[in-house]
This record gives sequence, C-alpha cells and structure tokens, in this order.
Amino acid sequence: MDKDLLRFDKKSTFVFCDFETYNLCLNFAHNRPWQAGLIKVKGNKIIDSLDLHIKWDTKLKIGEEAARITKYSESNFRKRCIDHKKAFKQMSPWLDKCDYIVGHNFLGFDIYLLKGYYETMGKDYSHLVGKIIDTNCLARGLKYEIPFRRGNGKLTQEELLLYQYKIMNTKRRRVRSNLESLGREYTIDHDYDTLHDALSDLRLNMKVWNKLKLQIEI
Amino acid sequence: MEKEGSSEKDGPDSIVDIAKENELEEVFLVDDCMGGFLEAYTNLAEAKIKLIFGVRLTVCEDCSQKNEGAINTSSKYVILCRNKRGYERLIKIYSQAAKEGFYYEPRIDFTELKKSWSNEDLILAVPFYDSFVFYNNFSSRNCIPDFSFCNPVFFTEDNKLPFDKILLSLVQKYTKEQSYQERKCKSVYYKDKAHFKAYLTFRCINNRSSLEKPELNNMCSDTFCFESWKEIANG
Repeated sequence: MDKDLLRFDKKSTFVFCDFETYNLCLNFAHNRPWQAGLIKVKGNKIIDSLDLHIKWDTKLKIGEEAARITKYSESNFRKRCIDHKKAFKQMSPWLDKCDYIVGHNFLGFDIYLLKGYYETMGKDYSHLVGKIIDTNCLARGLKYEIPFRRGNGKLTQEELLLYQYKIMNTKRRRVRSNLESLGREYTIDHDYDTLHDALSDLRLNMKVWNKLKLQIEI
Repeated sequence: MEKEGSSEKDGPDSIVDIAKENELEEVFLVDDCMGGFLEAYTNLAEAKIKLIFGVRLTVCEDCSQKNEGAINTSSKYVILCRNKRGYERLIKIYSQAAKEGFYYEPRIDFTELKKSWSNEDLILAVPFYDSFVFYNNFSSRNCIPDFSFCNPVFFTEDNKLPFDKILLSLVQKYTKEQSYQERKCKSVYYKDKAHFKAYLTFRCINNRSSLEKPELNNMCSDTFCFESWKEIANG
C-alpha cells in the first residue's frame, strides 16, 4: 500500500496553480484574476511553467490593497497582458489533463475564480474539484493534529476532498499557515522577498508540498 | 413580501409579483423567524396564491447548553406548516427556541421539538446546505439527528458550488440507507441572475464587510435565484 503514496509517485502530473486577483470576492460579478501562474511538476521536477497576465473587458479595477500586496504595476501589466480567451486556451489544457491541481488555499479561494473563468468560457469546471490538493488544508490538518485516515485501498478523490474541507471549515485561533510562515517553519531555502509574484509563490508552494507529503499518508 | 404591484423598476422585487407573473399557485416561504408570516399570508391571499410557510431553525443536541461545545452539535432544519394547527405549533416551537434555547440564535433540541410535534400538522425538512449531513462530513461538527418522531424530507440542490456533487452523493446515500424521501429544490434569494451583485451588496452590508472582501463563505454562485428555478422547471 505504501507504494501508492503520492510521495513516491513519479508518474502523475501535478499542476501548481495560483491566481492574483482584483480583490477577494469569490464571484465574477465583482472580481477577475489578472494573473495566473502555473507550474507543471512530474517526479519532483518542474517541467514547464506559465505566467499569464490576463486582460478582461471589464470596468473592474484592482483594489489598492491587492495592488500593494501583489506589487502590481500597470505598465508591466499592459506590456504583458493577453486576452482572457487566449489565456484560457493556454491554461485550461494543463488543468484539464493533469492528475492533481495543487494550490495554497485553493479550495477556499482559487477554485471559485476558476469556476467563474470556466463558466465565462462556457465550460464545466466540476471535473477539476476532485483533483485539488490544498496545501493550506494539509498544513492545518497537521497543526490541528487531525490525521488523514486513508480507507482501505487506493486513495480516492472523495476521501481526500472531504478531509480537506473538514480542515478548511475547522477554525482554530493562533494557527499560522500562510505560505511564508510554513516556508520559514520548514526552513525552506527561498527568496522570500519575491513572494506575491505568482511563480515565486508557486515554487515555494512546491517546496512546502514536498515537505507536507512526507508527513501525510496520502 | 410586499403587496402585488409594488415591485419597483430599480428597487426590490415583490415575491407576490414574481409568483403572479409566473402563474404560481403556491409559494414556499422559509424564513429565519416568524416575523414575515402575517404580511406574506395577507398579501399572497389577496393575490389568490397559497402560502406554505416554514422556519429554518437551528437544532442542537441539548439547547440548555450554551457554550461553544453546543455549537458543534448544531445544524439547520426547516419546519413547514401543513395547516393552521401547524402554524400554531410552529409559533410554540419558535417561541421556545427564541426564549429558552437562544444562544447567538434561536435553537431547539430534538427532545423539545418532539413535545410540540405532529406529523399531521408539520413537516420536517433537512436543507441541502448547513444540514447535519453537511456539517458531519465537511466540518468537525458532530450532529446527531433523531427522526424517531417524524418522517423527514431531504432537500437537494445544484448550484454548481464546488462541493455540490459530493454533498449530493452523501445525502443520497443517507436517504437510501434510511428510506427517507428526497425532494429536488432551489433556494431562491433574488429574482434574476443579474441581480446577484445587488444581493451580494446586501449581504455584505449585513455582514459589515465590502464587495472587495465579502468574507462570506462559498458566496460564488449566481444561481440562487428565481431565473435558475425557472430554467430547471422548464427543463
């Protein structure tokens, strides 16, 4: 059974994904992702990456706080941005075809933006949900000392998803699990000054996942 | 629940108007308290529409316990009136929940609920979200239902939320095992999908948050509306 653990998996494709958005609303009625970062990983190696700046036909503007945190630059954005349809064409095959989608707080935030994006493009997003590995949930599960209990046989999407939701909906005070604090806690070597750039965040996310997967029986 | 003809072009829609426009013969109104009943009953009766009224209530293990532990045994139920006697029973149940069981919100437990119960007058429904099935599987709560005195109906919905499919399968598994009835339904909070932003604004005001940071869990779907119900009803 141990051979089935994800820590030994060299064949599956993991796509790490992170959105930078105009604000923290979960619906396209008042939010859009302006940057999507994706890295494709197989057997602990990054095999490809995407850094997409996404242009939308909308009057929505990036909020002051979001711009400050993500170091958003209008001129840089204008130079690099591509139409949202073009960005979707590049991004969606990665997500559709991969075995796992990994993100930090992906179940609590990014999945809702992905839902909006897919629906705007007239596509169903539901096949993505079962592939999600949310490192925020897994890290919190360890801190809460609520272990993941795998059923007999191979890991199922449903049991992993329910475990992650259980942790996500369990709030405890004074538990820090943001990427930076986890990185420092695990003494992960990373250029922490570049955080909040999508690809830098994802590289740290990958390193955190590499630590987490050794501690959890998935 | 304003009178027929009171909807404003850029203002709130009256449920009576929506029901009338769509030739509905009956309306299920589920409130969080008893306060809306009289207006709803009067205005719908004037429009010759039948009202089936219900209250969404928190049921916990022991409503005399007023602490954080008690919250971990709480989940939502909908109590619907079948008739006038049901309404009288519901007033009793709600009064007790608001007076004796209150802890952040009106609450009752199954022991107390049983005392005022009659299957001839009331229906116990388990909502799709915030139910014991949801909390027991998607959170660390431990809610133990007691259906020994009633025959509950389980509502199911599809609002394209990320966890809808998995929740549906859990509800279906439970109802199949226990031979309980399931009813496909749709929670309606506003008229059209296009009104979602206005609804979200309203919720943010109540939540003392902003559109930029609503802090409302899972508030991602614009299908909690009459327009979506119509799409389903029309196949």
